[in-house]
Amino acid sequence: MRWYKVKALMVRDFLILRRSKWRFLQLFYFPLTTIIIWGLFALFSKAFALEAGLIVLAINIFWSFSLQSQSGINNMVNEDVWSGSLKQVLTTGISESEYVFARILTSMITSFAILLAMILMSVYWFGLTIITANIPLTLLFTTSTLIASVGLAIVITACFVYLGREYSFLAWTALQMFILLSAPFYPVDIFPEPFKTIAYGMPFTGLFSGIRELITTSTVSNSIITLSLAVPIIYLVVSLPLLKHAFRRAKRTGLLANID
Amino acid sequence: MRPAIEITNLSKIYKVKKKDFYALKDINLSIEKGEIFGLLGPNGAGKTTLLNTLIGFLYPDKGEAKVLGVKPYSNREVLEKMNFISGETRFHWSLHSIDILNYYGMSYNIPKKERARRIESLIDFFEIDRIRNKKFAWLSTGERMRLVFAKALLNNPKVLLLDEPTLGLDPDIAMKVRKEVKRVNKKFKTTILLTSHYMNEVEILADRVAFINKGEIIDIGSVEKVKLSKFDTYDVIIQVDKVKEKKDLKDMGFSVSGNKISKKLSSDENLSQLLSDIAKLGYKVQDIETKKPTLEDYFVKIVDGQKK
Repeated sequence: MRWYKVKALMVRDFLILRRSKWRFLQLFYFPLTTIIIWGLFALFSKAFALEAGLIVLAINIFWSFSLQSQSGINNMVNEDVWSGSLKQVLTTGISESEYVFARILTSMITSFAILLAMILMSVYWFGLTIITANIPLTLLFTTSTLIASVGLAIVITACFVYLGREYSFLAWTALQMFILLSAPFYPVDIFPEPFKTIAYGMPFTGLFSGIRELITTSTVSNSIITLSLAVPIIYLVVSLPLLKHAFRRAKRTGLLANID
Repeated sequence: MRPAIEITNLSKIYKVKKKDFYALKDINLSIEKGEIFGLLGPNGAGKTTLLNTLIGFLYPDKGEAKVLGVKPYSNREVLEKMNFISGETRFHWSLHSIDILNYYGMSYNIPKKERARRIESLIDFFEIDRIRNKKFAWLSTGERMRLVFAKALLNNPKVLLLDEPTLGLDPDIAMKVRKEVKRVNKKFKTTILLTSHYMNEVEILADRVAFINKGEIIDIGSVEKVKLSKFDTYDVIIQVDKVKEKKDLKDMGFSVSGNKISKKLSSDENLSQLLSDIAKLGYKVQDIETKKPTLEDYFVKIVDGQKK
C-alpha cells in the first residue's frame, strides 16, 4: 500500500466536496432530518412506549451511518465513472486496492462526522442517553456497522466493475435489499422458519438485535456481540477476493477499458 | 539496449456470437527509447485496444506487451514512469484546473516544492493561467486539452502514450502541442506512441509508423517506406523554358501542358538522370515539383482496398 497514492486521492475527494458546497450540506441534511423525525417520534412515544421510540431512533442512527459509509464509497466510484475520469485516475499506477481503500477512508471521515452529529442530537435533544452511558458497546456497534458497510460497499464495487456502469444504481439501492431480513425493529423470531436462517446471515441482524437488547435490558449478551461482529467480518473477508476477481475479469473482457 | 515498448505475438480475442473476434492479432512491435512512433488505422482497427493493453487495462489473450521491460497489466508501478492521454480525457467536473494538476502531482509523489514549480511552468507553457481556478466543467474543448497535456507532462514520463491528442484543438494550439511533443521527445528522450487521425500530424512527428487494420499490422517502417509501399510511382512536374518538340518529350514518357511537362516516376528511378536527359534535349529547367504520396493517400488507398 503506497500511502501517497491513497492520500492524493483522499485530498482530491475532499476538494470535490469543497468545490460543491451544496453537496456538503446535502451530505448532512438527510441523516440529520431523519434523526429529527425519529427523535420527535421518540419524544412523542415517551408517554406510551418509551423504549420503542428510542429503539427506532437508535437503529436509525446506525442505519444512516451505514448508508452514508457504503453509499459514500460507491458514489465516489460512480462519480469517477460519470465524469469520465476513472481511467485517468487508474493510469497514475494506483492499484485497485489503494483506489478502494482511499474511498473507504474518505467515506469513513465524513460518515464519522455525521454519526457524531446524529449522536449528539439524539442524546441532548431526544434523551438517547444510553448510547453515551455505554461507550464500549456504542463503539462496538459503530465498528460492526462500519465493517458491514465497507464489506457491502466493496461487494457493490465488485458488481459494478463486473457488470458495468448501468449497475451504478446499486450504490443507493443495495442496502435496502438487506434491511428487511436484518430484522431492524423486530426480533428474528418473528420470521417463519426458513427466513430465520437467512436473517442470521444478514450483516446488520446482530447490530439491530444488540441495540434492541441494550435499550430494553441495558446489557447485550455475548452471543449477540459475537453475531454483530462475526457476520460483518465474514462479509468483509469475502468481499476482497470478489473485488480482485471483478477487476481481473473486467481486464479480460475489456469492460474496465470502456467503463468510462 | 532494451526497447521502451516491446510487443510480442500479442493477441486480444473477444467472443462475438460465440465466434472468436480478434481485436488484435499476433502484433509484433518494438519501439526504441526516444522514438516517436505513429500508430495509424481506421476506427475499430485495434489502436485503442493496443494502448489499453499498454496502460494495463486489458489482459492479452496471447503474447505479451512490455513497457520499460515490465508488463503493465501485471505490474502497475511502471505506470508512474509513463503517461497516457487521449482526446477524450476528462477530469472530475467540480475540480478546478489547479486542483487537477495538484492531485496528479501528488499521485506521482512529486515533492511539494518541485510540484509547484512544475505546475507553474506547465501553466505558463500551455497558457492556462486564466483557467487556473475554473472548474473543469466550464472549460472549452481547447482549454481542456491544454490542461490534459499539462497533466501528461507533469511526471516527466519516459513513455508517453497519446491517443488522438490534438482532437478538437484550435490549429495554433495543435501546432504548439506538436512542437511540444517534439521538444519533450528531444529534451527528455521521451518515447512517444501516438495515434492520430490527422495524417499530417503523424507525418510531421513520427520517426516510424505502423498501419493497423482489423487487429493486424499491415505495414511498419519509416513514414517514407510505408507510404511508398503501396505506391509504385510518384509525379514529377518540370517547368521548362519553352517546349520545342513535343514528340521527343512524349517518347521519354512525359505529358506536355504548355511549358510544363510531367511524368510518373517509379521510386527506384533517378530524378537527376531524368533532368540530365532533358538538358541533353536542349531544355532549361526552371522549376521542379514532385508530388509524392502522402500518408493520407496511403490511408485512403488501404482503407478503400479493404472495403473492396
